[in-house]
Amino acid sequence: MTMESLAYERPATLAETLELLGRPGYTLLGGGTTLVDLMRLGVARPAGLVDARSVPELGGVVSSPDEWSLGGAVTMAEVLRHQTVCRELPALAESLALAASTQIRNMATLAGNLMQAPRCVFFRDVRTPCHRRDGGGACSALATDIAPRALLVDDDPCVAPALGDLGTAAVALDASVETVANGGTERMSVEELLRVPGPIPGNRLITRLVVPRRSGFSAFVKRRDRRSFAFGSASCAAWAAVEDGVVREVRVVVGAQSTRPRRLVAVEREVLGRALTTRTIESAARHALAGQDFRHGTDVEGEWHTATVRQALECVRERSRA
Amino acid sequence: MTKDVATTTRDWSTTTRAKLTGAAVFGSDVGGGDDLHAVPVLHWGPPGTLRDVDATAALAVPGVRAVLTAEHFADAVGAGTFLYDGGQFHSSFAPLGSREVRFSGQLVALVVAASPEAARSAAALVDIDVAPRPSRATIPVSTHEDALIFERVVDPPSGVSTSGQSTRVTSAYETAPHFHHALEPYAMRAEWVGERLTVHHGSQWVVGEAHGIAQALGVAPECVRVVSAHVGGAFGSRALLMWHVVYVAAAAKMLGHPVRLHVDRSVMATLGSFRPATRQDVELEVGANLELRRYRHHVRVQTSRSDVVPLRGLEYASELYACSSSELRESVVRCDVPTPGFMRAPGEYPVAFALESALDELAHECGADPVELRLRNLSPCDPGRGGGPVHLGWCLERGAELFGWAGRPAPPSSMRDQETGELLGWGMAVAHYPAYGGGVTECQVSMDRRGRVTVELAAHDPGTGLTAAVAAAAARELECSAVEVDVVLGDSDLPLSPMAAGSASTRTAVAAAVDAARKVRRMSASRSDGSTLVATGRHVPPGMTEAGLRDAAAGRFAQASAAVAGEGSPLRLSVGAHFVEVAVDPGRGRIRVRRMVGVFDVGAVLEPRALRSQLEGGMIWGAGHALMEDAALDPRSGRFLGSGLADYHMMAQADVPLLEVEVLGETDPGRVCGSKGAGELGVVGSSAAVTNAIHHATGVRVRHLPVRPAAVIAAYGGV
Repeated sequence: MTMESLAYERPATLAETLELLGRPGYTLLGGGTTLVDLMRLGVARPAGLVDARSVPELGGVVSSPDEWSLGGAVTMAEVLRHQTVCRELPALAESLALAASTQIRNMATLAGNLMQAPRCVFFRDVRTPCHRRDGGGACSALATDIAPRALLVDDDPCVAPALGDLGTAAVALDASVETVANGGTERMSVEELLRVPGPIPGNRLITRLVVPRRSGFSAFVKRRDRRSFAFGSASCAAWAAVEDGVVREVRVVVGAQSTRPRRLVAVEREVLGRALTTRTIESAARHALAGQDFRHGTDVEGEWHTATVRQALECVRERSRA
Repeated sequence: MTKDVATTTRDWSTTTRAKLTGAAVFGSDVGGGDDLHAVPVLHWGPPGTLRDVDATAALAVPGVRAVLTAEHFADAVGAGTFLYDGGQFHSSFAPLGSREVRFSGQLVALVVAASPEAARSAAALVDIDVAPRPSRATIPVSTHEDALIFERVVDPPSGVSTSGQSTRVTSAYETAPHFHHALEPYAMRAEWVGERLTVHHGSQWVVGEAHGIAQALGVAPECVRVVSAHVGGAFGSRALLMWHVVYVAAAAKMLGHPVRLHVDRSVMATLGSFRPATRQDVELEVGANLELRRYRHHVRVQTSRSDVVPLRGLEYASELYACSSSELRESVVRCDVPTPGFMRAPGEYPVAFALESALDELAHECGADPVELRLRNLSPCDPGRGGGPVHLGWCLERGAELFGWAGRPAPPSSMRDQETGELLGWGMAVAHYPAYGGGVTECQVSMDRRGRVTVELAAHDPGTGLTAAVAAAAARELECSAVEVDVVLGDSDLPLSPMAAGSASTRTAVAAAVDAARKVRRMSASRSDGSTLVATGRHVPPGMTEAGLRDAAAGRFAQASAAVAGEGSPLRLSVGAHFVEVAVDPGRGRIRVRRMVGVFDVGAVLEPRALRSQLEGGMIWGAGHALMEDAALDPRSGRFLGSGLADYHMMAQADVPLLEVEVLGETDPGRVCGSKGAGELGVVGSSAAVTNAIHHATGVRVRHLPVRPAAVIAAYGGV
């Protein structure tokens, strides 16, 4: 920590929260597991922290017949303790359980997880140029082959991978967020929310993560170099609605090997309308790179990505047969 | 795993109680509220010449007392002597001794302020201007910049046939640089009272540091006291004197006030040291009866522009096996990096990875069992080859038995877990570490009228169990319980002790304590009053030279060699055998170590629980070296990337396999207390056992650490 003065506010209402967030340099504080870290590193220098964890609209796990509504300030650990959510939404539960450590899951919030800052070593190091942090200029990660970088990219020069596992699972589950600003409440899909990295335009605040309750099977898989407390080198979430043994609807989303949770439409197309057999999965996974910008990846990395997609689909298949 | 952890609080020694209750005082716990706080300013660009340090903005921060650069220290701090030049410093290069910047991450200024927050704020405002020069941080493929520092060529004796059927392997290996990452980061406090300086910080060598600081500051050695009562892990990182310690001490003098410094974990490797990278070439050849005919090994090791830090791992490794012809070479490659240092088994770990991998390749080529290949080539020091103190043959046979090695099918990819479908592989490798004689160690033992015993010496316990071993030995001599023995360590004012290094300091401390305790026991037989009995003890290792005695007294490094003169045995080694089971899941993209068996010959056992803990820690660590540890060094900028614990992965508890450790425990009459030492042994060979097991599981040979599962599984052929 340095000597800069810092305001800390703990509003009780949504209106108060929005008012505080309108002040220059004020930032929303969830569990602080990334923000405080970035403040120590000098990457984030907020003038004030708005700790909205006591705001009622941001709390609680509630259900209707059609959807689960999870408060933006609900912690990862709280969701994992919710047995019905975990049973109905295995991909969501797995994305939370495989992330970070117990200590971090006890603090980190769902909204904070969705909006989490890049973990790229260059983003976190103010001594090096970073396109994302500096709002332009060179990407340091592209200039070296030893920094982790996304394999599937868009036109954006930033190649930081999407390591927040929850976002990947949420896109596969067709989840949305409810956001609020002075203009009122809006709903947008998580896929749309995370399409462009960075904060939500219009200074909007995520109040709820809304996940449809639809009959189907889901899974989230993650590859990492140790069994706890590690970001993925590849991850994939898949959801499929199966009727009479045939896939009627499917969503296949990759995360850690991509700059954003990315649907693999070509893979989905191969699965749709077919029985989820090993052969279907095998041939569908071969389309894991179809239509993707893979210019920064190697053959080995491509195989790793493909195998991760196959693994997630295999997992969905097992669950659909159970 | 560990079965006898449960002890009652009654069994806690004073040290145990202090550590478990948080009462133990570490370097950063000392000091008062009005201490000044220092924060280092480092240069993160490429090396070059420092044109300017602009401290204007930093000095304007309220509470800032000084921004100290090379100019300020020109008179206050003199030269320090590098270890290998007979001194105590980790590098001959004084970072604030000139305008030269030799590596990225070098110290260029020290900000001192009334609070840590002010110092940190100001440090971020110091503007550094360096004229860069071309630089290279990693070992190039080309060898034209190498400097040969060790060479030993043994030609085959005449009359020995080199013809006939033979099998040869030639392979190249690479090991990654590593961080020590001891739990306690570097933190210190320096205070002058009159002309006397006291430095509190975690150290493996308080006596040497006190002398080194005194020399650099131009004061008498008795004017400097270094205190390191508890050490929160070291692994070699605290073996040598780091320059920032001297500058903080000088700052405290200049400013007339105690100064504290806390070093962030992410910059420990550039203020201190790291384990250097290696590139190695190994060639092995056996004849028809699996007898080793030829061993060629060339180690290329990364070093800094300032210093040559030799690994010297080859001469000991080459004693493990009998071989009629050998060519051993070690070269250093100057790189634009901080001076590398010692990290657990500095020479032995990388060399054993390459040698034990090559032996596995050779066994595979010959269709021989890897254990059998080693048994056929045991060194003449092994009882299996006619007598001697190195029981490697026993370790191999006992390890194979405990592990169930006999059931191992020779061809790779022939075992699967029936339930999970994972590919299983069994690999093994040999561990070795020289049984150095250790250094001169002195000790004072006192016993009060109630029978409470205090053992005092300057030695260190960075988690190795020295405290427990010393307490147990004193208790045995004085016929009391070990919990009645207080062991006071880590103070250069206490009786002389050597650096905690080389797997030798526990037994020399025990020897000195036993010597003093025996004197106390004799005195107690004739004691008539209730006075406290006090005696001093001393251990001088056999083979310690006159020069060594002088060096030890002057705070220089002095260690008796691993050879024992006049016994006909060239070297003494602690040895062991690792057996490892890995499971490779190509479908899930996962490689994990499931089971490790380690069987070791370390001579006599001084403290069984501390010993097992030390060996287990080494085995786990070596498996982590194989699978994940990598101090990623950006070849362009020369910067370590991701040097915090979030990015530098060591094994998590969830990765730790089922462990089984067995120790021979046979006393070695050639070593004090019968012990050959075990501190560094466990990590040696453990990595090779893992990669050899990966080969057995998949048929894929890993020659470059750490393992990349994606590459292994791709080479295996996917699912």
